[in-house]
Amino acid sequence: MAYLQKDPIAPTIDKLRHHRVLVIDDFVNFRTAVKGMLAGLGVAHIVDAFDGESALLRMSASKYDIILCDYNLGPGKDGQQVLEEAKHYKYINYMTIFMMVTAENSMDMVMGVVEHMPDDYLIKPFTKQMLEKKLLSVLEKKIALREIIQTVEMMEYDRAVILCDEMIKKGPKHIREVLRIKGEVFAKIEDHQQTEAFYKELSAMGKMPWAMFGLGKCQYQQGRLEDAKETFTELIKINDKVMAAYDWLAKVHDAMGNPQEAQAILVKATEISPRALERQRELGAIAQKNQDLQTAVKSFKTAITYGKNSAFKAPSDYTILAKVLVEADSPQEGLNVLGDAQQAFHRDPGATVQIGLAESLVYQKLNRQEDARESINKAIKATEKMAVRVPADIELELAKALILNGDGDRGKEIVRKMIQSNHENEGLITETKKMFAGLNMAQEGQELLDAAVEEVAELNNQGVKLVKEGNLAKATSYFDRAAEKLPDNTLINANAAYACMLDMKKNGKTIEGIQKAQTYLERVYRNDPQYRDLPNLLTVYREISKEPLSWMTATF
Amino acid sequence: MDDSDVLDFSDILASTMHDTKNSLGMLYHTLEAMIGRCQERGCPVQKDHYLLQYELRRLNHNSIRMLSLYKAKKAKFPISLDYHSVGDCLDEAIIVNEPLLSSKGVDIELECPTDLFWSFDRELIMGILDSVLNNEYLYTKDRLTVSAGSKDGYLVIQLEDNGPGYPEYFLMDSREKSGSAGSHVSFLTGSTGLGLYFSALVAKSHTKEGREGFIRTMNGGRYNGSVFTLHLP
Repeated sequence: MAYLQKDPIAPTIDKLRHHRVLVIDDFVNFRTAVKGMLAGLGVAHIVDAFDGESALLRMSASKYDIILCDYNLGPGKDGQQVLEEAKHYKYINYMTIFMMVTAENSMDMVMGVVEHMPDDYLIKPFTKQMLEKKLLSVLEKKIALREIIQTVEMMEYDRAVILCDEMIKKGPKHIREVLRIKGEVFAKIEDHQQTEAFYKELSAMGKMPWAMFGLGKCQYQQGRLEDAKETFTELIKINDKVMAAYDWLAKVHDAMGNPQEAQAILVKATEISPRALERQRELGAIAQKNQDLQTAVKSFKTAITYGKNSAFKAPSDYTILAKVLVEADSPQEGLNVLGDAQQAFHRDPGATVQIGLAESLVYQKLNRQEDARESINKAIKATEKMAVRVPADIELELAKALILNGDGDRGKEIVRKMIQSNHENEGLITETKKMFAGLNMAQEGQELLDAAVEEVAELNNQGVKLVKEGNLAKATSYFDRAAEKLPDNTLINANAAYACMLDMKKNGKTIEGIQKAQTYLERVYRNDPQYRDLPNLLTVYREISKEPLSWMTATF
Repeated sequence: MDDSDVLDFSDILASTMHDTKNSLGMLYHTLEAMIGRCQERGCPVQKDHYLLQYELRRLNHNSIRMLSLYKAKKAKFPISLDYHSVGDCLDEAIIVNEPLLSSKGVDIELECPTDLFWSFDRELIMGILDSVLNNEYLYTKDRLTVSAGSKDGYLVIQLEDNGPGYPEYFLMDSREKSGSAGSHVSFLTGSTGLGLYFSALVAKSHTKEGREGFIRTMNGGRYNGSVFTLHLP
């Protein structure tokens, strides 16, 4: 049999022998069959699981190199959810091979967004040879693309584009993946013209869903809503299983001032794929906007149901539902929902804050002022717990409740801290102004905001001055204190990272210094993964450390 | 009773087919394990096992086809285009069919430039190739060549064998409306006919700049047997 010329560095089955494999399927016969095949390939360490929950439990206990997961796992989580949660919890990294096994063909499956795609699909029934071939080709692909992925994660975007072009020139072996990565890099640099030209050129050669999707997103980002609408509509016409296209089309319609149309599209999408939590939330929000309370209630209830036992459950699903129920004149049911919320999140003080606030609103509606105050007190008490993290909009709500309940000083202190953590967030500052205006405190609010922003700017300027003067040791310890005070402020943490890295470049590396830099950089990324100076900071970081940061998956 | 309460018969068929397909999968895996054990011991009944495997794969292809057609009727044919290495796809299709074909002593050859890439729906096209290759178990004598290349803006994939060739009523070019596969009801009774009809449908759903894909069946070729050709724009 005459074969294609094989890549000389292509991995062989010996490479797979020492891999640890997890087989997930609800049919025991199938699990047995696959385990038999793997054993036949010489794989020694094989473990199985019968549903998504137990699979994730296994992944949390030990690391697997290969995961073969059936898409349809019965009543619990499906294969796509298993994949997304495994990624979320970092049970799997770039080198982990995740294969989705499907009963017939993937036409039946909805397509997730690019970041959440499995490495490949296996269609039942498959043979041992097929399994071997697919595993090896995925492994080979991962090894070949690893450097490019590392470069992207390190935010060295220019170099990533060069590497992509080199790979394309070398031969068409992994052209599909390389082109995808290249498009994503262009989008990350936010060079809209280049991104659009790139995707347009690709679409001209064949209407590939991912290229059309990238094109539509790019058109939306440039505010060209008509074009974006056309692109996403065409994409859905070509392949009605690309679910992210519905989400974006709805977004486009909403931006065009057609929330009714947006709702209709999301309804259709949730009919095709009801399990997607985020989409149910979007539908609920848009239905609420359209005053279609019945649909809003239904969507948030569905989100709660599918969110149970999931990594992506959120207290806001319950609190928004409760508020919608109040709007729909069912405050009592709202209270019940919040009771469920308390149970579902009883160990999360951040959620307790959120739930307490929602509860106080419901009690007010029921004219139970005493209980309303009690709920607010519960929320405040929860904020005093250690390590509680509350989203800024909830803090704003809390401040408002405090001011309304006659504890203005405490409310204003919360606002001050929140603004200091987010002093460059224009949207949040506008929201805060609106809140003060609504409370007839516009003047006082403005003064408070100005003072808070001014204080951070001053704090930062002092440190920057020390850096400029070359007093790096002093600058470092100055920013250490500033970052300790404002651990959620992106600018302060970015400058703290910069000062301490500069200090190490000049005066030598220390383990402690590297750890500090990592902490600051990870905070910056957590607050804003697109932070403008992050690529530059990472360039400096690479000079002092090769250790991967928390969001990097390909650097193991 | 409301109309919506009555289950559509095609829905019942499809769901039964789905379940049947799962059973077929299990049968197939069991058989594969049996063949493996047989090989180790050198049992004399091995040939029969391969025939079983061939028939199981045929059943499996039939049910996939049925389910796909059912879905195409319900909604529409979702096409998922992407760039693929043609050589890798053909290689994979051959690997799956090799044990069966080599049990009959068929020599498979693959001729494909390593740098040949094309955009198509991998799964649908692989389904066609897999089905045609599996059929070769019955039809070819001992030779089979799979070749691919680009010609006049089309990707051309060709399978040539040294079997007896297609009977006259199977010779077709899916671009021609009359006398082609799918036009005769009687033609649809056999699995091969339905297979050709389905292959033509999949090919046709691949379009580029106003051009559509198509299939052809001919007799002759390098081994004077049957020739199956798939053209994709």
